Amino acid sequence: MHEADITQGILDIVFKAAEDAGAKKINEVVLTIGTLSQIVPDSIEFYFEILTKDTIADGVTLTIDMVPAMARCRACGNEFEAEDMIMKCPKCGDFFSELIAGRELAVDYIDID
Amino acid sequence: MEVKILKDILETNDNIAAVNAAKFRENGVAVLNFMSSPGAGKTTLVIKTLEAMRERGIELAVIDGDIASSVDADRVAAHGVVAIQINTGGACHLDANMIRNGLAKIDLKAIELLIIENVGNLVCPAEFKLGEDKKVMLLSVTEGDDKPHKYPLMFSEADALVINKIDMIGATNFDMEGFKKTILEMNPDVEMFIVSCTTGEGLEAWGEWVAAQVKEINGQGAGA
Repeated sequence: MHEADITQGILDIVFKAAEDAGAKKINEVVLTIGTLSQIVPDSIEFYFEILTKDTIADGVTLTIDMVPAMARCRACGNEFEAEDMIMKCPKCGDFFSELIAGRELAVDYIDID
Repeated sequence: MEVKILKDILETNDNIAAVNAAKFRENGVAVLNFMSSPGAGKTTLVIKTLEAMRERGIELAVIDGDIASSVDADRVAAHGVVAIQINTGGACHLDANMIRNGLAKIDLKAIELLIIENVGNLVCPAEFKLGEDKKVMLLSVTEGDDKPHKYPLMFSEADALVINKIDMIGATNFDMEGFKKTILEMNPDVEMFIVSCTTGEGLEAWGEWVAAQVKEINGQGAGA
């Protein structure tokens, strides 16, 4: 939820990094978003287009790298892909697993001129 | 030209939450974050909790979060504890910055427990760290037993789950055994409490758990 606020947060990070690097134009922004992060990529894209108009990121390419959610079984150590919050180990059937990836919400890098 | 950033978008909130948590640790205050949908019984449970803590000589304060009004803080303050109301003016959850500002009105040295009653909402509060020690979720049986699948984050992040209004279960089709099974699949570590804040059922065990958390978090264990 809050994709508008989150998009603004992304742009705060991106514009600061661009300014620090002396950028004239931002060509691409690459985000890392976990599949269990509760974020809707389409909504981020929607707000991104609106909020970058008339800025040095106008027309920017937004690339979203989705990170698959991975869990590690606490009983047998098996690592497996988690589709939702019910993380049943496919090897031993135990439900005691911890999420080791999949809740990411980060700006990875930007491409500038 | 590529500029590597690798920055977490919720870092700002998380950093402030860490500052809050450090302040709580420094002052020996255990912090619980109460979350639920509107009307599940958070404020009533806050009042029942303060009564249980009073019996055990544990001083506490409360922060109430709502979009508007001081209805909840007024109810709690009437029981003789410090209750601060935060009005978010539209935000559907409390965040670490709001809590940081609210702490200015609380004498942390005078208390051992802070209960933060979040805005009534099953979605967003789970996403925003406040600096709390434990997340307490409430669900009343009248809300239905299908909620875990629909709101997975909150149910899987809860340290304790209070199932409230058990006195009303006869008027519903709530499948308690099926519900508990789903919860334990999603969140095997959760502590569940089945209570009625109206009849008092289950509140003794709840009070004991809260008191035990206060002692453990503040480092007053058996050996201390």
